Amino acid sequence: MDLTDEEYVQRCRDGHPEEFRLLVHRYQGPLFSYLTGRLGDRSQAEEAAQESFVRAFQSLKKLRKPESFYSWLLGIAGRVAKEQFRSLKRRQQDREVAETMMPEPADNHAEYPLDEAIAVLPETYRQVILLRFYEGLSCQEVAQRLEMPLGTVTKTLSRAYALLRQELQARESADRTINQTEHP
Amino acid sequence: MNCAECRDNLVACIEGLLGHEESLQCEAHLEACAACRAEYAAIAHLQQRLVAHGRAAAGVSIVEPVMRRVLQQQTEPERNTITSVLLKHRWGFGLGAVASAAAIIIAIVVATSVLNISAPKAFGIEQVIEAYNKVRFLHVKTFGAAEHEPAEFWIKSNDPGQVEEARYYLPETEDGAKLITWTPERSEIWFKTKRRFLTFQTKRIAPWMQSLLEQSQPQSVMKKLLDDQKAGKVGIDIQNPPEKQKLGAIVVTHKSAPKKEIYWIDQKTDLITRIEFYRLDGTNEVLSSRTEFCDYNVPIEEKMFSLRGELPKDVRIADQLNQVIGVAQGNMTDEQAAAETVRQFFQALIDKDYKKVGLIWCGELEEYAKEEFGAVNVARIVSIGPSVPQPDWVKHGFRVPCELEIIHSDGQKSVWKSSPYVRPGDDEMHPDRWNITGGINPGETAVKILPDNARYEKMTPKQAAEAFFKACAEKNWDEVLKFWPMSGADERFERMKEYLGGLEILSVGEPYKSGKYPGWYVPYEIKLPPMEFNVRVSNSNSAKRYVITGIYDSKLRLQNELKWTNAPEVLVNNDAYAKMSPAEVARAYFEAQSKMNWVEMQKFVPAYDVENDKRQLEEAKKAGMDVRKLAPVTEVGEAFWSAEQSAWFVKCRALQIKKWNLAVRNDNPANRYLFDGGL
Repeated sequence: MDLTDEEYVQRCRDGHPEEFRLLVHRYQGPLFSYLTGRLGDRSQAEEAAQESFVRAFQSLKKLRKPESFYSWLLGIAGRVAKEQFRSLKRRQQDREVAETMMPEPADNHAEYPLDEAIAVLPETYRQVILLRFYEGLSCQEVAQRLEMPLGTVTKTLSRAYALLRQELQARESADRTINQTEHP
Repeated sequence: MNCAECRDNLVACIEGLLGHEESLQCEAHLEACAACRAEYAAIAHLQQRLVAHGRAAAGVSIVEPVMRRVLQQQTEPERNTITSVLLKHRWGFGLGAVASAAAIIIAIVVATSVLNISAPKAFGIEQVIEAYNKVRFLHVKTFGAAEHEPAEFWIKSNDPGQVEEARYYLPETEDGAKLITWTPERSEIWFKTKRRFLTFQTKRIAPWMQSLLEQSQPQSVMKKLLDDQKAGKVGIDIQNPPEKQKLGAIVVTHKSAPKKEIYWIDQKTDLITRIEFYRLDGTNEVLSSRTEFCDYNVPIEEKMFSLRGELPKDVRIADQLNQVIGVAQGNMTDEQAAAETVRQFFQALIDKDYKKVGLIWCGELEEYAKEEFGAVNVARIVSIGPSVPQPDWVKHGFRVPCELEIIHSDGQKSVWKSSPYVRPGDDEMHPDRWNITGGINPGETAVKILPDNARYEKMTPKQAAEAFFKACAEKNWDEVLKFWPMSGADERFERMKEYLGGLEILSVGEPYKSGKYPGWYVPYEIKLPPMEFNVRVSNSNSAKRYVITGIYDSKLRLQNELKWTNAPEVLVNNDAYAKMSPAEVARAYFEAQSKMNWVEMQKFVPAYDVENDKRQLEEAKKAGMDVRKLAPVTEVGEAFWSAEQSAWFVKCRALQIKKWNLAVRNDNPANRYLFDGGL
C-alpha cells in the first residue's frame, strides 16, 4: 500500500531523497495539467513542472503541513509559472518581437478552480481522483492498486465528486463576485 | 429503485459497472426523476472536466529528470568547468592517448559523502547492508598496486540486484586502454589505445558483468562477509570512532590465507567509502589494491551506457550486430578454417575488396577497412600457415604465420611477415564463422629498414623517446616518421603536426614496464603548442554586464555550456563591470583564474563552475601536483560577433604542459623502437 503524502514528506526529510520519486510520480499529472492551463504550452509546462518539484524538494523542510503537500506544490508552481512567463516575455522583447498577446498568469488560483479544488480534497479522495483521471486507471484497476473493494472505490469517487462540486461552487461564485466588483 | 438507491449507484452507472438488471432499474428511475437526472448530469459534467484535465497530462513523465536534479543537488557532483573542459579538450585530441593528465585530476577527485542520511548511533554489518538497500547506481574505482590509473565501473542495477547496464574503463590491458558498455541487447568496446570500436551482442559478458557487479556491489560483499563470519572463515573487528566525522572500519582477517581487508565506512551514511586489500607478509601488511566507492545512487545518465556519441573521429568502427562477418567453417578442420580465413583476407586485399576485408577483419565497416589497409599494396601471398593453436587465449584461437610480398610507394618490393590471430564465434549468432581479431599491423608495412637502421636499433627506449620529441620540436617530420611509421597522406599525420609541431621538451624520465604490455613506457613532460578556442559572452542579464556563457573550439563548436541558473548578480561596483568589453571580461576572468582568485572568477562564470574548479585544483594540490604548472595559461585575443550564433565571442589561446608516458615497442621487422601510444 502506498504511503500518504505526509509519510513520504517525512521520509524525504529523514534523509531518504529517493522517496521524493513517489511524490513526483503521484503529482506529475495534475501539476502538469495545471501548468499547461496556465502557460498554454506543453514544453513550457513540463519545464515549469520540473522546476516546481525541484524547488519543492529544496524547501521541503519548510513545509509546515506535510499533509497539504500538493496544495503547497501548486503554490510553488504558480510562482514558477509567473517567473517563466516573465522571462519568456523578456526574451521576446530582447529579440524585438512584437508585444506578446499572451495574458500574464494571475497571482491567485482563481482561474484554475478545479486544480485548487483537487488540492484541498482530503487525501483519500484525492488519491482516487488522481489514479482514475491522471494515471488513467479504470475503477477496477484503482481497486486493485489500493487493495480495496470495487464498491468502496465507486463510493469514494462519489464522495470525492460531491466534495469537488461543493468546492468548485464556492470558488466559482467567489470569482463571479470578484469579477463583478472589478469590472462593473 | 428509489432516489437514495439511485444516487448511491450513479457513479457505478456512469462508469458502466452495474449489472444488466441494476442498470435498467437505474435508467428507469432517471427517466422518471428530474432531480436525480440533474444530479447525474452534474456528475457526468464534472467527470468530463476531469477526463479532459487528465488527458492534458497524458504521456507526461518527468520523474527521472526531476530525480536526477534532486539527487544531484544532494551530492553536488563534479561538473565540467572551464578548466576541466580545456584540459579534456586539449588532450581529447588524443592521438591514441593512453590517458591524460586531465584524467589524473579527475581521478583524484574522490567524492565520498553521498546521501543525506541522518546519522544512526553505531554501525555493524547489518546496518551497512541496510544502507545499500536502495543503491541502484554505483560508481567504483579500483587501484591495483602496480597500476598507474584506476579501473572504473559504472553500474546500474534493478531492484533484485541484477545488472541492467554497465560501463567500465580498464586503463591497462593487453589491448591498451578499453572502455566497455554492456546491455543485454548490445555491447560496445572502445579500444582507446588502438582507436577501434566494436559493437556486438554477447551473452558471455553477462555473467562476467554480474560477477563484477557482485564484487563491486558492497551489499553482496557484506552479505558474504556475514556468511563467512558465521562459517568461521574470517574474523571481523568493528571499529567505531566516537567522532562521527571520522571513518569507521570493519577489519576482516582471513583464517586460511595471509590476507586482510579493511572496509572503511562513512559513519554518517553507513556506506562503504573504501576497501583496502592487504597481503600479510610475516608481520608486514602490504597494500595490494584498493577499491573506492565514489558515488552511491547518483543517477548515471543513459548516454553513459553507449559509447557512440563519445568517439573521436579517428576511431575505426566494426559492427558485428548488423552484419554477418567472417568465413564459414563448413567441413574444414579448425586449422584449415583458420588458414583459409587468412588466405581469403589477403586475397581480398590483393583484390582491393575492402568490404570483404572488413568483414573478415572483425566486422570493420568498409570505409574504415579501406582507410586502414588502403595503403597496403599486397602483390601476392608467398606462404600461409601452418596454423598454431593459441589455447591460452581462447579455445579455438590460432595464429597463422604468413609471408606476403608487398610493393612500397617507391616501387621497392619487400616481404611482410605477419601473424594474424584468428578465431571463430565472436559473433554468437554465427558461431561457425571465423574472423581475424588481431595480429595484423598495417603500419608494419610502412616500417622500412632504414639505410642507417643500425643507428636506430641501438637506441634505448628513452633515447628513442627523446629523439622522437626532438624531431617534433624541430618539426622535422621525416625524422618523426621514422618513429611513427604512417603514410604522409594519413589524416592523422596532419593532426599530429598541428598537435605536436614546435613542442618544448621539459623532461624525459626513466622507462618502465607495466602489465603485459610488450613495450616500454617512457615518462615525459612537454609543453604543447598553443591551443586556440573561443569563449562566448553575453550581457543579456539584469546586471547588464558581460559574463561567460560557453566555451567553443576554434571552429566555434560548443565544448561546454555554462548554465546560469541564477542570473548574474548586480555587483556593488556593477557599473565598472558593465563598462567592460567582451575581451576585457575574458581577460579579467583568465587572469583571476591564473591567480586562483575565486571571488573575482565568480563575477564572470556561474558559481558552480568556480566551486568545481576550486575543488579539483585543491585535490590536485593535495595529491602533490604542481597545479600552476598543470593548469592552462590562457592568452586572450580580440572579440568578434558571430552572426550565425548571434553572440559575442572572444578568441583565446591556451598554453599547456603535458606530463604522461610514451609507449614504445621494438617488436617489428626493423627492430627499432616505434611510437605506440601515450600522446
